[in-house]
Amino acid sequence: MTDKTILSVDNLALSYGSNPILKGVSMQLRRGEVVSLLGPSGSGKTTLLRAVAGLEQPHHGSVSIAGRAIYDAAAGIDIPAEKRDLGLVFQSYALWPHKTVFDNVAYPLKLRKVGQNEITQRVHAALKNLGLDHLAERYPHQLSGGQQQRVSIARALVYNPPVILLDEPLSNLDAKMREEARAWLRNLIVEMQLSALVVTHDQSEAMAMSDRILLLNGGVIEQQGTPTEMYGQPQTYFVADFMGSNNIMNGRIGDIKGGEARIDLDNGISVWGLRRTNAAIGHEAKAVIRVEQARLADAGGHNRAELDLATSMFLGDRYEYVFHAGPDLLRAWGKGHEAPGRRWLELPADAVWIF
Amino acid sequence: MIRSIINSILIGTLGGALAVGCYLAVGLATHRQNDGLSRLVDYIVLTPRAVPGLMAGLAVFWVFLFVPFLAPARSTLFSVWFAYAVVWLAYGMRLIQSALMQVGPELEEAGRLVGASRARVSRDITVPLIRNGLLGAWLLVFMIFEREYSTGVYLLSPGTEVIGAQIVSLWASGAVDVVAALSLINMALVGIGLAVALRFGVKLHD
Repeated sequence: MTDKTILSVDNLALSYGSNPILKGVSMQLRRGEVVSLLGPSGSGKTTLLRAVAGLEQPHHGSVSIAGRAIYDAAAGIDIPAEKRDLGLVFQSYALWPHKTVFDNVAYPLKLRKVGQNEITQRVHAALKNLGLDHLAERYPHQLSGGQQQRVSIARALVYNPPVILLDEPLSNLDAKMREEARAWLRNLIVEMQLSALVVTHDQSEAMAMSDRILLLNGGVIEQQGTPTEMYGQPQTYFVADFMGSNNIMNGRIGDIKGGEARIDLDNGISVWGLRRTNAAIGHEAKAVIRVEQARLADAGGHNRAELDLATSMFLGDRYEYVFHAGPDLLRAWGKGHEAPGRRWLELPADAVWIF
Repeated sequence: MIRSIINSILIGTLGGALAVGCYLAVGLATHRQNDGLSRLVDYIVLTPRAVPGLMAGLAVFWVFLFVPFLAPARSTLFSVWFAYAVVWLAYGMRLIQSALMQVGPELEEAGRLVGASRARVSRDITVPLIRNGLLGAWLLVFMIFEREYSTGVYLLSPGTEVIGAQIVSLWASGAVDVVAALSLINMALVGIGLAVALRFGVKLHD
């Protein structure tokens, strides 16, 4: 552990009754870093965040903030949530409906026995920072979803916690606002040099917002790394499948040459790709290629197949081509409209992963 | 006669509020606690209603008779209130608990996270949020206490009569006209209680 580590989770395990939710998760968050906890529902990402916050009861492992143990099963340490001094932004924002925006944000300071003048000054500074100063006297139900989210962030930041935890911060906003809020939130975190742990189920949100991603699957970390590593070099089929829009095809390994392998797909195509499995020749495997990597070609060649183009869909910034390949539907993106018919599709060997 | 009216008003308004306060204290102590003790309390509070009010009243009478430091309070209104509050504990707790369950758990968790202890969260967040639920609970408890008499039969003594008991004894002596008058007064009192509760935001319908 270096002195830059602000949050350290070591081998944390948690069960609901006899149902294990976290099966030994270890992670570090460095000062000024944004780490996303990504995973499908039921993967334990929210449970991990809540365990760090002190809202769930683990039974094994340890958690420390800036070198101070806040939970340690072996040493019998379990600091209650209110003494952990963390900031948490809830998915539902959890603003207190009976308090004004000002009182919501002032409450953490009031609990810390800060003087009235300083409270007024710090709350207004926090609200101003988030562009909410004019809404101080309103009640939460009088605000839009985006404004409520900002109040919730202001409340979590006003007492300068060392780490801020965000639970699906964007999921309650509508699709268009979500993209704007994503950029705004990332900018805020970077500008204020916050250390943040963000839970999300949306891989593009995780990639856009974070310096590192931890992908959880069934209570364990499947893979962690920078967004580019996670997207470009998935180590397992689960990661490849989760991180992008993919064409996935089943087949058997036909040939192996060093780090590459040929897969003979059930749909009749044979392609070469990067070997990510130890399966021997003749064994079942899966070929995965990102939709944006598959492309139309003019003529036959290496890793190309002639297929039926069923339709072209206009998506605004691009077209999506849908090909029939035996039982599979393959998708590819391109610039122009293409009439249905026989077309060559290229699946570049360096973009195909074989698991 | 006047004394019984005053006693009934006292036990309904102040006694009702005090009882709701006690139920609230028990409710908050077990609120969102999932340990064995809290579950035990959930069952224990039902027991006073498992016996007839008359018997529960007798039990309270014995408690006040044989517990030394309670004996002086036996012939005061306090003993009557105590019996009422114990007997209607099960109802009161249901009212309080259903109000408490309506507070979103994340509102309380948010309080803990920003640095408030459980007690502070109860005081600053939970209780203000269930204010209307508490008033509704008070209204129901008030109406029950106002007309209740069977529980208190063994505890009533000169000076602590309530309207209900008065009506029964007057009926036995054939004073039908006074019984009618007292009944009207009782209904008027319940009506006033309802009006006060409505004034403070209790909603009986949308």
